[in-house]
Amino acid sequence: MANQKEGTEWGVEALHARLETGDEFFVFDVRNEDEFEAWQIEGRRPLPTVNVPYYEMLEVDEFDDVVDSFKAFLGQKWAEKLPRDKAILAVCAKGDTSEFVAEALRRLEFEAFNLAGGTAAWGDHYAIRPVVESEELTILQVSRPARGCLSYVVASGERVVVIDPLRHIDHYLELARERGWKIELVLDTHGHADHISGGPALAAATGAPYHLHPYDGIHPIDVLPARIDYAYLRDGQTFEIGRHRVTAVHVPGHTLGNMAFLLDERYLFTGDSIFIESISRPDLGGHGDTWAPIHFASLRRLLELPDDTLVMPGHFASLAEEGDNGLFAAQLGGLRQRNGGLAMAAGGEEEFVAYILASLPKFPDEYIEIKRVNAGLVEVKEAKASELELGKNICALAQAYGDGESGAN
Amino acid sequence: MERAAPTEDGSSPNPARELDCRGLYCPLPVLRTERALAGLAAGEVLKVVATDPVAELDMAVFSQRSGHELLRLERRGEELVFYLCRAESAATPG
Repeated sequence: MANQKEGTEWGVEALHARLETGDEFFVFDVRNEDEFEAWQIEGRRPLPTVNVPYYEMLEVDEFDDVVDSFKAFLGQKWAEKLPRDKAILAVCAKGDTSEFVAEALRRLEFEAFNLAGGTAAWGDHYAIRPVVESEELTILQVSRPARGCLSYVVASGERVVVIDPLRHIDHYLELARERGWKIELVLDTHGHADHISGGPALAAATGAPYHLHPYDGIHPIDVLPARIDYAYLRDGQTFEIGRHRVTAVHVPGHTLGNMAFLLDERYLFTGDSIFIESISRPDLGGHGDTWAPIHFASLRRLLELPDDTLVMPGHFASLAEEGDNGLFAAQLGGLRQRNGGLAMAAGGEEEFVAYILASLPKFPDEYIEIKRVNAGLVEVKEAKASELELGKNICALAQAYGDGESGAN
Repeated sequence: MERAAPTEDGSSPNPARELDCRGLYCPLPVLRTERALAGLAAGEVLKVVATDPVAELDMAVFSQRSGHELLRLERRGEELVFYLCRAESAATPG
């Protein structure tokens, strides 16, 4: 099956590779307008993209064949507007309709491909990249590139800790199986708002304890206690992983129970505190004004760490934040200048709070519900979970990307 | 003909015609639905059975755009069963 389609479609790995290199191609997205508005495929640089909902292209009365119908429409309306010097990627929700569209474009002699599996497959794509790989210690960055979510697997010998596991826990279980690892500890930096944590499920599947700061065991809007099984994290708590030590650092601000994890005084898993180009927002619990000063104090605490501390964040907002090594990781020293939010945190508190409150992107309604799911207050099935997680995270301040205004509502 | 109303008591509307879209993927269920509705009189109900999960959203969008009202959606295991009412004058897509 795959061979038959070779040369006419891109899988999500191929898409990811092209987005990372910054190669330009044209995206012809035929999803419904609402779906398109909610999120699009984004690369290292802006991609030329149009949205033409598929139903606008169907001339139902004239053609029996879907491809013929699309071809007639595209030939008439788009043949002069689409590029002939670069690849065109046809995109829909699941990759079915876009297959017809890609075929119609090819019949019009465009270099067109279908995105296999559509935006659904791209949204659920995981990539695994080594940060450190020595006999002694392995650190892997496990990401969902379409959503900008990052998680980490730290292994010493066969002992493994997973930090911020994402929803599809099979990726971690398979990794452990392949490498003969035993997942002994599951840590969440905080109660996530943008995605459903894989933490409780991974803990249940492995027998490893799941840790969360108890402040994040209370839903901030509902003010209800979580109904999940978790062990309380506290500031200064340490965990031994083979010969390595993880220290929990309480950095409230994004949430009240927000944590960072420092490994061997050298590797800092910042969760949602410091990102590469930005810092996290303090308003997703509904108390931005009172949490911003706490956020300030937490960032100041992290800024005291040495310059050569390697920052590994919980999110990215753009593939442009990726380093040449394919990783979202950078030394703290470099970030002091490069990261606008961090530079503000190095200044005065008042200016910082004003800056942060002026840089808040929109607050997606789903985030309140996702926190409920993560606290075990609501149970959802796959389809609903996928719908809640749709699109890219908005956990960072907007200003770093110059779209604070457009994101304001 | 009297226009079919959404059922309040949980019973399925009485269809004038049934369309089997099981095993078909987007955009075929919507396409065939549109054609089938064109063959009905205003107020008559079309029952559509589909298995493509995408059809749930697509049919809602189609209903909104075309004016053919989606009276009811039933989930029977993997199957989605739609009841659509033929509008007086359907909006022309595109």
